[in-house]
Amino acid sequence: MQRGRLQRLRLSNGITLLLGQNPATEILAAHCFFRGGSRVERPQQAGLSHLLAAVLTKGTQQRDSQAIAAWVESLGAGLGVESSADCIEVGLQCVAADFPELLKLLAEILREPSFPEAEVERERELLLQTIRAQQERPFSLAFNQVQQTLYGDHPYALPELGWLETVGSLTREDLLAYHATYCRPEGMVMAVIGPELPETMAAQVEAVLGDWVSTSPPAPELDLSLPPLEKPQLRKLFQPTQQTTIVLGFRGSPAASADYPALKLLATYLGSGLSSRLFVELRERSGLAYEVSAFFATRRDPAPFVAYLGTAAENTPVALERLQAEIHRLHKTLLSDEEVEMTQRKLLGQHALSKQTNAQVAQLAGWYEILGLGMEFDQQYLQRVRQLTPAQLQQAAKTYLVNAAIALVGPEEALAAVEL
Amino acid sequence: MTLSRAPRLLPAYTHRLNNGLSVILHPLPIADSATVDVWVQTGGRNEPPQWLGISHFLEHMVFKGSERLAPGELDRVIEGRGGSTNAATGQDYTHYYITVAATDLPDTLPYLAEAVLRAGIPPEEVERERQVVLEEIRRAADNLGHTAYQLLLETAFGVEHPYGRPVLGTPESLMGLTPELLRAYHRGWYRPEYMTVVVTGGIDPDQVLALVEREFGDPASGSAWTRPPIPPQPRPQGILRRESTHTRLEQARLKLAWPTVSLEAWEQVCGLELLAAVLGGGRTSRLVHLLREQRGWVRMVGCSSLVLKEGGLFCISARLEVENLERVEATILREIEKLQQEGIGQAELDRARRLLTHELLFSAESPSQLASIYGYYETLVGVQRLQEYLELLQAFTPAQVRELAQQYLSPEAYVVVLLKPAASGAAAASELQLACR
Repeated sequence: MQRGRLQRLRLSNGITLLLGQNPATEILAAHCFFRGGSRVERPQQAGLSHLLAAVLTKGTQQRDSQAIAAWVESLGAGLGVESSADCIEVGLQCVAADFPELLKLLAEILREPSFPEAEVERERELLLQTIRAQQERPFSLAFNQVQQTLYGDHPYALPELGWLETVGSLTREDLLAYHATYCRPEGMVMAVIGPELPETMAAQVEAVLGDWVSTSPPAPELDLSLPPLEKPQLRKLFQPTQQTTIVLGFRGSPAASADYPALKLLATYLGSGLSSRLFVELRERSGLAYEVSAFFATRRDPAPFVAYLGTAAENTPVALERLQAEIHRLHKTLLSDEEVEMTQRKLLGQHALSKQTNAQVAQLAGWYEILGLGMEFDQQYLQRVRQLTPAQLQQAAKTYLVNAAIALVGPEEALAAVEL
Repeated sequence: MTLSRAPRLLPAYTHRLNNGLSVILHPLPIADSATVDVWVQTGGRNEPPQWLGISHFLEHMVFKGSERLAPGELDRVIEGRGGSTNAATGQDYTHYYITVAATDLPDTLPYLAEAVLRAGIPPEEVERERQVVLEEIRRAADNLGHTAYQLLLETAFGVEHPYGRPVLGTPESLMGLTPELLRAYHRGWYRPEYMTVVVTGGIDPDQVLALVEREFGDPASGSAWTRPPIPPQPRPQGILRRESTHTRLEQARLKLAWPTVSLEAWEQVCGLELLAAVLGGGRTSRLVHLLREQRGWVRMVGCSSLVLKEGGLFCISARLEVENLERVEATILREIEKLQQEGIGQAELDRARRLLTHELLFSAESPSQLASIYGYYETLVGVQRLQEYLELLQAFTPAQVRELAQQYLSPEAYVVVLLKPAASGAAAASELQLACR
């Protein structure tokens, strides 16, 4: 089957198309990516890319918000915009026969959004409410603390939704400027997977996006520096919860680094699935948590490596100690060949299982491409994972899993006594 | 252009083994993975109050091994081959699933069968896992969305009805669950006549059927338990209102609910799905359009028809600022009355049909998604209902959907649950700042 093997095509205006055919289903997934996201936000504009995502489909030069939604919904399709750390993503899912029709609308949205004043105002107001509502979630609170500690003045420190103060002052002009600078054909990536031949889908896309030329100057390449972390840091937020949420964060590597595969494998070893080290030691054998996990993000700049759990308030000190001990163990002890091999099989297998739908395949390929890694990165990365040795994992742990940023969210009585 | 007829979504093969087990097999030629999903017809529904949480606790214990399997061995075997495994417990079902490379199926399916059919439930593991479930209950208590949902079920069904009680159980009920009790419950319900095994993905149906027959084909021993009688679903005679305040809540939550039908009334079940999509599915639906897009009175509003074996609720939920609570509730009721009086447009209904049809289609693309849909339908209503659902979506007329609204959504009798922030936003924010160091 061809779905896994995508073709790359460059349009003359700089759009990169990744095309795959999957005749087994009539579902088509198209995902467009633009460089940007929170990484390009200035601190006083934190939340701008998120607001853009909320308003982008709310009006074009020819259509208002309801007309756009009516078009999409009458065809039973899904259209969504999301902003993340490094990019803006516009995703479409539909029955393939409806694609040409929806593509016209998609092109209109990408090329000439109108950001109607009333829509901007309402979405800004609702975004402020969302920012407040996020404080209801202990993990979000803790994770935001960890990001701030790890990233200082780097934009990865900014909460994805922005701050109440910054979002409140964002304007329609900010959105127009952001769109002109970042949502442009040069550098845009579009991954399409559906039942039709790649040539057919390419022609359909080219017909509506091939003549798109941007008139404003492109954004300068940002080279963002990150001063080294000097020491571990602990932040506490008091909340009257039953559990304490413990989040341990480290500053890992960029996705393009040679160390990326080792950190991915370490995160899998620690926290992926029911047989992972943290799950077995802290949950299965010690009953300290229900949710306990770890992950390592895929980003342009050094990405967060995070281990976390939720535990009964009275268990806070012991759970934190155990979690830290598991990290120290990775510094001191070489994992056995057996442990590493099992983790490699797990990562490779779960990676394959995360590419089961057209949307998942399109999303991953487009994501690697927009990060500048190229969709071929997928296979290169897996190949490097297969070759990793226990010594390389230990080296990666010693290099990156140091100077932890720790955040605790829980009742004051439980947190007061905890010190580093 | 778009699908005008109902698409076919039925499984390729359905069988019943001699021991009563239902087997559903569906090959997906493009898939190189396979999912095995084992469904058991028990859950919160079958629990007397003093055993609250036993179905869910047992689900945890299944992963703790058997005479032949060490605790956690199932996880290691599946994940060590790059697969994944998990389980879930609801009011009407419990299910266990693995997804593996299709070629690993013969070596992994037997482990799942062993764990589910012959759970050992060792006492020392019961004590250890009890702590984990207690953590799960604490975590749920800290989740305000979960709190709101549980309050709605409790208010609408009442604590005398199992659907009004939490599937996780309570810290008190959990302490009374012994290894002996868990084993007896397991023997009574985990029997072929109460179970369905679904296998989907890159499979050869004949080979897989033989495999399932070998691993799940034994007759059950002992006697089956039967579903305990439960009271009928309560129907409020007026407006049943429940308000609570919460310190960590930043924004109010409003939930309105009307008792509807059980899964036996399948035609109505499908019609109520359409009604929910007309009112609250997508940006052009009536409530989202009016309350969020036009007036900005809610941050989110949604509509869902929850239907279970023994009853159902039509729910409308919103997240909003406290000062908008009254006018939002009043507007929702006015919109319902308007729909009851003026009816629904043809285009409006067509949009809802297409939305629901595609939603199902989109959610059935991977082997694991499809296995879950087949298992759910077979366990609750019989898998052939899936096709009926798709056909009924096409057959409903605007007048029939309007009649359902008239029949079930009374503006004079419903349940309303309100969660309000205890402190003002400013005070909560300053409290946060003080605590930050």
